[in-house]
Amino acid sequence: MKVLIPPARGQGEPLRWFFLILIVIGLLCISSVSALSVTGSKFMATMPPGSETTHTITLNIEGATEPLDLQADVMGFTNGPDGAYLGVSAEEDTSPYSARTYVTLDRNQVHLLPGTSEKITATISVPKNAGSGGRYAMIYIHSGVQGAKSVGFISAVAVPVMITIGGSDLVKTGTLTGISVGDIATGQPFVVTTGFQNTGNHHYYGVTDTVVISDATGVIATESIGPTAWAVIPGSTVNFKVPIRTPLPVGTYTVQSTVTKEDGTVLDSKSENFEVAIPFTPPPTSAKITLTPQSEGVLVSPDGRYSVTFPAGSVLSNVEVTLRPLQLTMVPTGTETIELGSSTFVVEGLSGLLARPATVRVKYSEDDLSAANGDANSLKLARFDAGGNAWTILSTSRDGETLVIQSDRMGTWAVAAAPGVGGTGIDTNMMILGGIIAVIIILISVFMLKRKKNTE
Amino acid sequence: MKDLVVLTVLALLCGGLVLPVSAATSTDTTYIQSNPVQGLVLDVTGNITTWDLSNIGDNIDNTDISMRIRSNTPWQINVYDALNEGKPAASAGHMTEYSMSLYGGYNTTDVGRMLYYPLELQAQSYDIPVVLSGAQQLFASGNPTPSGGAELGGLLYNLTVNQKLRFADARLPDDDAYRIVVTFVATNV
Repeated sequence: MKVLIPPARGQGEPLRWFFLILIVIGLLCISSVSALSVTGSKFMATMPPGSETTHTITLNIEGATEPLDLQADVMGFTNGPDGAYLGVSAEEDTSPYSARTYVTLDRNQVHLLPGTSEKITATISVPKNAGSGGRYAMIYIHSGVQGAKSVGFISAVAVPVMITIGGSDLVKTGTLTGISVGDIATGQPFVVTTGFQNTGNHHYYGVTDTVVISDATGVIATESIGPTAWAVIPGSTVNFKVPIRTPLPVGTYTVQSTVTKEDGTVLDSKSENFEVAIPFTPPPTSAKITLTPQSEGVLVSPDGRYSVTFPAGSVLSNVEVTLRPLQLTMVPTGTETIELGSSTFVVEGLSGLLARPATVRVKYSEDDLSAANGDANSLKLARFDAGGNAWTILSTSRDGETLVIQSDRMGTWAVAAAPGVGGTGIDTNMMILGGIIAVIIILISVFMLKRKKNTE
Repeated sequence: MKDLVVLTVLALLCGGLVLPVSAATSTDTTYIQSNPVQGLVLDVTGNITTWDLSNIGDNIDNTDISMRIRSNTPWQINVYDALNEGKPAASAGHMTEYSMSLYGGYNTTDVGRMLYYPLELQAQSYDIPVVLSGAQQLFASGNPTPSGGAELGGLLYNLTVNQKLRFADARLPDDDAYRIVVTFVATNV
């Protein structure tokens, strides 16, 4: 994939930059390489020491009109922290479980013509003194960068090679390398991350991490992730991220993380204590309704904290509308920074303006209040205007702990701390336009006054 | 009696015909056992011709790039910036100054520029964006994809690409541009 921003004309002071950047046009040109098709895209076998076999990888490009050059390399093999299968370069491949040197390819370069297929034959030789357990390598097949000026993306396929040494002792052990509790904020996902390393000599699939949260009274929550579809390779360390969906009052808790194999065998388990300083409420799940022109519709998050009331006549035809919580990391940034709380969500399914304004209600959280330094009066509802790439802080009334606004457009919503902002309901673009008009009127008035004085 | 003889002969004939057939069926049967090898097809395609990087903040395109995966076993797709064509190592994940006429490729001098924020990619709108870097990161994963019957099948993703921009990001002279190449790696797991 190639992303191009055409050139600019100069450099200067920030204001000038602003106007210059406004006219920057980016070009993202992706050459359509067409589909890279690979069969024999995995090798997994038990091989006795001193044995040899071959594995055929067949390549073609579907729907292509241009030829494609591919490069194939043998690499080491490990897991990334997220479990992703990664190739390891020869220089960095120091694993005792590497099969990189066991694998040779009959060729490293392939010229694929449209409508034809080509084969790469891998010869896999297990030495007589191979030892025990599993041995791992990756055959990395990738295209070159496509095009000249319009450089395309690169499509690649990694072929895992997973060899079990026949007749050897397979050790399937693992250890937890750490447990960490992420930031805890109301309405936001709270994640327990468990580091786990395969300390054995053989891979295993179907690993599950179960997290149990308890306090002095007993178990509060049990959550798990898995079983994994991917294998944990010996020597690799992966991070399991388990989201917690249970409310937690202020207090001290113990989190226990247990990693098990597919058959339920415990590989390792560890505990840590953590504190919850502000009551934790998990993010709501999505809610969906079908709006009709004839009747009122109320879209409410399952936990009741967010709601949108659409009056009859707000839409002109039946529309399916969804309310979905949004993680803070996914909230768009605007041209100006505003202080957001933790209550963020998006209303999807509506484009354009509503025929009649809807009422948006949000019960603010302790975290929202913290963002406003405890001043509930400075909490406002803000809506992200994608067209203007800006947050608009709206005129917000407060009903107890609920913020209320009326709006004729939906989109991304957030509770914002905006001390001193009255929330006029006029968006930023309108304010800028109004300011420009005011300046023009003042300039014309001054000009007219001067002209009048001169004529006198 | 004649009828009985005829019936007996017919029965023997039938038996004689049937039995050899049965025997042939059992002795000549050829069992064909096979299993397709693991395979996958990765197709990333699209074309954004006018991506206006005009916003200080997010610049999002979520309509023009698609990725289709077809696989007969569980799969993963990773993404990374492979630093192709001599892209400077420090620029991994970032759109970087590039000009064939001025530098013959990426500007690898000390004054070579890149956008401050790395490129972000999402496979689906509710995914946490992957912030592109020089290390492969899991982008999407799944089980064997739907066959699709007469249709192409597989899973189709409309990708979201976001380039955050800030005031301090330099505009470049004519014949110069920011550029990045994203590598998609598909694997059967």
